[in-house]
Amino acid sequence: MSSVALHQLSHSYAGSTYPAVKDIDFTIEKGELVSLLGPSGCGKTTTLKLIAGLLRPTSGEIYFDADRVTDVKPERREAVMVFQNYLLFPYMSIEENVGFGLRMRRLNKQVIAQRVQEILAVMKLEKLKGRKPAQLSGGQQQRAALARALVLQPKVLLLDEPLSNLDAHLRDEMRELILSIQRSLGVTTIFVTHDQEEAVLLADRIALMFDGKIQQVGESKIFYERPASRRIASFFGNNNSISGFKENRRVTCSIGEFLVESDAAAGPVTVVIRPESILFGDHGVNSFNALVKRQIYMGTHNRYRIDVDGAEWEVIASADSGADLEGKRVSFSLPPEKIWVIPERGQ
Amino acid sequence: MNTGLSLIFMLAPALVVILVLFAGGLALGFSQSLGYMPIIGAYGFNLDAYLQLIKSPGFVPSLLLTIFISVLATLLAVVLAVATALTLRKRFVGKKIVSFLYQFPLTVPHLVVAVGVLLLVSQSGLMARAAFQVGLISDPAQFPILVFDDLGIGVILVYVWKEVPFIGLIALAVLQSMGNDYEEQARTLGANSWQTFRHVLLPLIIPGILPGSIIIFAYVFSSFEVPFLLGKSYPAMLSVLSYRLYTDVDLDARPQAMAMSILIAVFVLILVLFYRRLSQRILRRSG
Repeated sequence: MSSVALHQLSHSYAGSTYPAVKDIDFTIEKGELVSLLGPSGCGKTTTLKLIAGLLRPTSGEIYFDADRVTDVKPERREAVMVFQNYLLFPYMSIEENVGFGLRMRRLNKQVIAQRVQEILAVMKLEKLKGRKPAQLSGGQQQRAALARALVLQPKVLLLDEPLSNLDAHLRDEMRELILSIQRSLGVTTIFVTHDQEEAVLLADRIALMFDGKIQQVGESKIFYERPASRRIASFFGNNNSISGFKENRRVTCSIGEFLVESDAAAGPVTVVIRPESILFGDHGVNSFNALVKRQIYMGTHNRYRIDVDGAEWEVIASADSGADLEGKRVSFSLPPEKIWVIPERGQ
Repeated sequence: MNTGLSLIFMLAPALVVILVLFAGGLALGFSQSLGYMPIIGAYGFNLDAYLQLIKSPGFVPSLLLTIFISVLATLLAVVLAVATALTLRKRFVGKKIVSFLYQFPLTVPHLVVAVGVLLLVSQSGLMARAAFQVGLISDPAQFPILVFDDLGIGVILVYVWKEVPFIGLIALAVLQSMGNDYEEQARTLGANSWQTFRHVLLPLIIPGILPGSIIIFAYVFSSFEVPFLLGKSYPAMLSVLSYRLYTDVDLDARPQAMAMSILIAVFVLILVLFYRRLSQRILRRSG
């Protein structure tokens, strides 16, 4: 396993005027499990293919540890990619599929047989090794595709949407399997997904991409608590945001003025607050009124949609109170220490 | 009206033509091959014609030549078709023109191609003249013999030229439906370009082009006009031999001509059955 460093990496597809991936600077540590997260078309799969060597960057460099691999052919790079639709060779048995990479390296037949046997055992595929891919379920095919990659002991494992073709219950199982195998083998792993929940559950760190650029990198927590932009907050399901102007510890916006504890510089800002941080009732500071448009009972809690100056905010509160607030005007408070202030850059 | 019955009524005109012309002709030929020819006073039903044919000195060389030409023409066509399909699926400048030229041979009749080859590569043909003009040869006899030759090179040339796009377009369709994914997968698993072609692309293309190749093999094996125009008179391909026996002034040779035709027909029929089984198996596997 190796660390992976991307320096100013850009790629434009032939015939396309604007780049699919632009100026990516990102380092993945040895043995880390990192997610490239973003909506479809954001350049995450392109980035994965650049690391695999299947695409050549228009500019920029790629390093595995201290070795520059930008010009190394995919078959020599030892970065193995597992595709979304598994791509098991249909005319080979599972055993032959798993041994493919080792055969291409012209290893000794006994060595191949032994290593294939070991990985089949790890992936619980021993009983299926004689079957053709078409005779396997989706989950089994996914395990076989993973086995085919892992048997090569790659420096970097690249997974393209590894869970998106699976049923919900299989997804949990496969997620646990990927996690436990990644932990036990310690292989540096980069996986691409469009599902933020998947990234949060699986990754050590997340690199969020929009429009071919990495927007924010970090542990999953920061995307909820300290999103770098309104769009990121929204991608992680939080639409409770409003534009305003910050001066000292005060933000003025269309619903009024409130106190914040942020040290962000004075100027135009976006203010974000998480649905569970908003409190109903007047708590003395930062209190406002809003119409509750909808109240949804979720079992353990209630979810409310409130109208804040034309925008719909979400509030999550305990279901204990039992009061029906739908259609009523209520007061709510924004605790200053829970408010996240994002300075508006440039524009 | 019952749909089955109405179907038969609607198909009847076509069926009658097929039955009378094809099955009728086949039955007539078959009975003649067994020695039943009232017109010359022969009423026997025996295998004499088949035995005479197989024992005749010209049969084995003809059979070998026919197999040689069919196998070589088919193999060359397949190899060139796959190679061209691999090139044509890529993007390049002028691809539209190249694709058009590539498909062009499909529209040209075999007969025209045969005449063209004759005019082009015979010892008195265009290429020989050009070679003479530029001083490569000083005498027409120095130009290599490519038509009416021992190995049927002229015949093979015609078939290869005609059939490359036939198989090539099938291979191209298979390649395009596959996309690049399998190749990319093979590459990241450590296969170099040649290994990717050998172990991944080829096994994926072959089921698609095998049925087409069998059709071409059967076609070359039984076709007549090209070897008749461009082949050596001895040994000739089986179909030419059959035609000669058929047009022999001695009507006694007629049963042998029919026996030959029946043998060719049976061989082609076996190939067609094989082709059908193969394509069904491929369909089932991919389904």
